[in-house]
This record gives sequence, structure tokens and C-alpha cells, in this order.
Amino acid sequence: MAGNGAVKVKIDKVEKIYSGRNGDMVALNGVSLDIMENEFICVVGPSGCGKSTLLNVIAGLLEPTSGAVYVDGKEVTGPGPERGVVFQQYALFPWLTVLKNVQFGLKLQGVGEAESKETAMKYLKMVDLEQFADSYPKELSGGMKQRVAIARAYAVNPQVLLMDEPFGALDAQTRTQLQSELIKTWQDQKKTCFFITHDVEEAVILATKVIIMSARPGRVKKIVDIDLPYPRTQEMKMEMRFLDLKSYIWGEVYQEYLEVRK
Amino acid sequence: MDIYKAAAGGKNGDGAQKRVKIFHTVFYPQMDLNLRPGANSDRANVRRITGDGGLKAQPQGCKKAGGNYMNTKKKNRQFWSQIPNGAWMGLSLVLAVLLWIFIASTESGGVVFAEPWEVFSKLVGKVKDGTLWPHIYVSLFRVIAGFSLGFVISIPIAFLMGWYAPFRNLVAPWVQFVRNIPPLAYIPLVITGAGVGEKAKVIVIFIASFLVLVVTIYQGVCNVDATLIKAARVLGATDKDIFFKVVIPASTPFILVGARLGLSASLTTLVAAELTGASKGLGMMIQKAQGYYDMATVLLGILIIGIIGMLMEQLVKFLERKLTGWQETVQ
Repeated sequence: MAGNGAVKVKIDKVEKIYSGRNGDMVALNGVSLDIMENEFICVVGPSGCGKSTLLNVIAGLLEPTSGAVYVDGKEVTGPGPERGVVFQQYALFPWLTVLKNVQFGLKLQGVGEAESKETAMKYLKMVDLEQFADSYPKELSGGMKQRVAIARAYAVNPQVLLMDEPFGALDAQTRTQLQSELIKTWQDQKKTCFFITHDVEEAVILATKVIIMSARPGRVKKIVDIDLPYPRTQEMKMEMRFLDLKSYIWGEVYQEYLEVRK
Repeated sequence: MDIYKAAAGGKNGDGAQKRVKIFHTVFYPQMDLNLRPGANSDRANVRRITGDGGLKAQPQGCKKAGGNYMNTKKKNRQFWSQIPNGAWMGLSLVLAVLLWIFIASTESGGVVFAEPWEVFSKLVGKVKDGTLWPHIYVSLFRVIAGFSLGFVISIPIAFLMGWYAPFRNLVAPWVQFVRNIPPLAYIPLVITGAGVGEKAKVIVIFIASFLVLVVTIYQGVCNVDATLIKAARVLGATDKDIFFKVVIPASTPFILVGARLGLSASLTTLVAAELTGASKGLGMMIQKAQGYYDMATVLLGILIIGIIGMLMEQLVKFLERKLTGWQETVQ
């Protein structure tokens, strides 16, 4: 498989409990998972199973109630540029041009104007938006905004890329297009990816491994290796092997949906 | 929850949210002092509303559901939509002057309203003998000094209120309390404390503009999108970076709205401030003229204050276009 054998991210018995007015809510109930270097992990599960909570814990934006996350053996204590995040709501800075958005992280690291501009342009080219470098986010469509966000995350050269339903707000066509682009980008520049989605089809076409999470409290229910060959194409969605994997995973997730409704 | 997120995050989702938000601040700046950053923010509610509208009513209609209720009129192709804005302004001016002439010609109206040409000849006379300019200059100085002081002090206070709950809890109720008191009521206190000099006038204007500014800017700080802060944080931003590179630019639209409201509060307080006794100033000029039943001078003073207000508003609007053109627009 795609992994090089080294554990990149180790999630060790992570538990997250939110204390609210109506008592405690267990979002994550002892999640343990090893993510290998250059693996593309997709996480699927019913709403409220703690997928986003888990991503935020890895990102260092949330502190686990107990347990810990290690990246390259070092415990995560807060956010850091070695872990890039792409949010569903794009989260571009509206007062900065596309180029300046992509430069933002580089400049925080003290990279100079000329060099950061060059790097930013390289990644804008990667997402095919170099001609929009001087536009403001309000002038872009949703799909273009998300491509800028991906370029911004790539620009600081993170070792792990965390994506929280990045294509969730896009229409079906744009979504398919961005999936293909993401596959291509990942094949060109391997990174360890942790990708959350609702869409089982999306998970199967992107991932080297799909993690199915159980309904609240969130646990890892099943890990499915996706043995589809690379380079992956949209046509693969018609193939038997793809459909088998998809219906198997879909069935597992559906069980959890039923569990939630009970 | 996730459905709402998906719908609100759509193409037009954030635009609609922003529009609602700004609409909210412009028209209800006095509300929402209880808004605090975090789970229960107004933003979350707005998102829910736009999300719902987008899903049930119009599939791609977040824009409509959230933003366009300000002008729900159907597009009409009547002849007046062809008239340019400048012509409308001219027409409006002519009509107002005609109305003025009419009122001045009636018996009871004539007591209050001097004829337009009387006012105009007063203007010419006062410009010629040089007595008008000192009044304008002194008043402008007071407004600008009071407002600038309010602006400079309100920004750190508003940011502190937004970021530190203990400070907010101690200060917010008093801001709310004092801003409902008309400046006329505390003028005796100011005079007793600061005398009848320039200081007293500047203090009154300062208090009025400061309160408006603090409330508006504070709201802006509360409305900074939490996702933007997260996004900056994962790119390696420190607290200082977040303050200067995210919170300040994200609050700029609110700071400018605050400036507009604050300037207008300063002007409306001007005349009251000059009640503290002054030898110069537009408010003073009006009061003195009233003593002589010189209605032409009273009207002249009123008109000049109005024109100054309009010019100041245009200046801030110009700044808004320059500094916050990146916003998804309010129009």
C-alpha cells in the first residue's frame, strides 16, 4: 500500500467529553489509530459521530479530555504549520487577495516577500488559479475559493493535511472536478492526508484507507483498505471493485445512521 | 446541524451572512450589547436562518433569503428608472427650495422661516465681513477634537471588551446605562468639573461619540469569524498575529460604521455642547441670533451644520470604499 511503513500520526486512546448544561456529552470514546506516512485516510460516519472533533484534536485546535495525538512521535499541544487544515467554509481572509491569502502562512514563518510570492504562485498554478492572483475572494466561486484554500494549506508545506469536508458545500460537478484535482495533487506531491466526508463515493475514490466511525460516542468501527490502483480516474466509479467497496462501506455507515435514529 | 452548515457554506452563503450582519449593525447599532464571541453568537443564528431559507424556499437562493429583503421590490422598467442620480438630486433640491419659499410666504410660516434669499444674503454678508468662518472653524475643531479622542480611546476599550470577559462584564452595563442619557443632562456636571472653556465642549462631544463608537466596534470584534481565527492559527499565527492580521482587518468595516455614527453623534451634540457658554461656534451663533429674532442667521447655522454632516459622511463613505472594498457588498 501507499504507506512507507513509518507511523506519521499516532492517535492514542483519545477521549473528548464536552460538558454542557445538559450534562456531559462523549464525542470521542477512546479513539486509537495509526496513520502511516503518505497515507490518504478518509473518515466517514453519521453526523455527530465526532469526525470533526477528531480532526480538531489532531490539528491542535481542541484539547482531548484524555489520551494524546503524536506527530512523528511528538505530542500535539497546539496548532502548528506542519499540520495544514482545509475547512469546509474555505476560511479565506476576505480582505486579502488570492495571492496574499496563499502567502499568509509563509510570511508568518518569516519568508520574505519575493520568495513567498514565488512559492505562492507555484501553488496557485497547481490549483490552476494563477490568473486570479490579484482577485479578492468575493470575486471567486465556491469551488475556486476552496482551491485557493487548498493552495494556501499546501504552500506552507505541511507534512499532514487535514481536511474537514472540504467539498461538502460544493455542487456535484465542481465536487467531482476537485476530487480529480486532489487525487492528482496528492499523486504529484505525496502528503499524509486526513479527509473527512459524508460522501462514501468520495471516500472510496480518494482514499488509500477508509475509516468508518460509529455513532456517538465516536469510536473507530472499521478500517477498510482501498486497493484500487493509481492513477485513479472518475471512470473507476463504474468498475465492479469500486462499487463493491462503496456498497460495503455504505452498508456499514447506514447501520450507524439507523443506530443514531433509534 | 450539518445540513445547515452545508447550506450556509454554499456559494452565496457567506455573502448573505455578511449582508445580514452589516444590515444589523447599521440599523440596530444599539442592540446586541450582550453578544459575546462563542457558541451563542448572532452569527450562528444568522447561519441557521439563511441555511433554512436556502434549503426549503429556494435551492440556490441563500442570497435571496438572507440578503435581498432590503429591496424586495420587483424590478420596474418605468421611465423614472432612466433618470440619472444627479438629476434626482437637483430635482429634490429645487422642490425643497420651492417648499421653503411657500412656507416662508405664509403668515405663520413666515415668522419661523426667513426667505431663502435673505439667508443667502446673510451668508454673503457674513463671509464678506469675516464673521462666519470663526464660527465654523471653532465648531469643527470641537467636533473633530471630541470625536478623535472618542475614536482613539474607544478602540482599545472595545477590543478589551471583546476579548476579556471580566472587563466586558464590568464595563458593558455602564456603557449601556450612560448611552441612554441625553448629553444635555450631564452638561451641568461637565461645566462644574471642567469650567466653561473649550475643555467642557470637547468632553461633551467626546462622551457622545465614544459611546456610539465603543458599542459598534465591540460588536465588530464579537463578529470576527471564528473560522478565520482558526485558519490563521493552523498557519502558525501567534496571538499577536491574530490580533493585528485577523481581528483588526476583520473589524475594519465596523470601525468605519462606528466612525460614521460617531461623527453624526458628535454633530448632534455640538449645539448642546455650546450651551455650556461660548463666544464662538455655530451653535452659539444660532442661539445668539435667536435672541434678536434673526431667523435668517438661525437657518444659515442649521444649514451649515447639515452640510458639514453630509460632507463628513461622504468622507467616511469614501474611506469605506477604499478600505473595505473586499466586502461582499451591502448595496
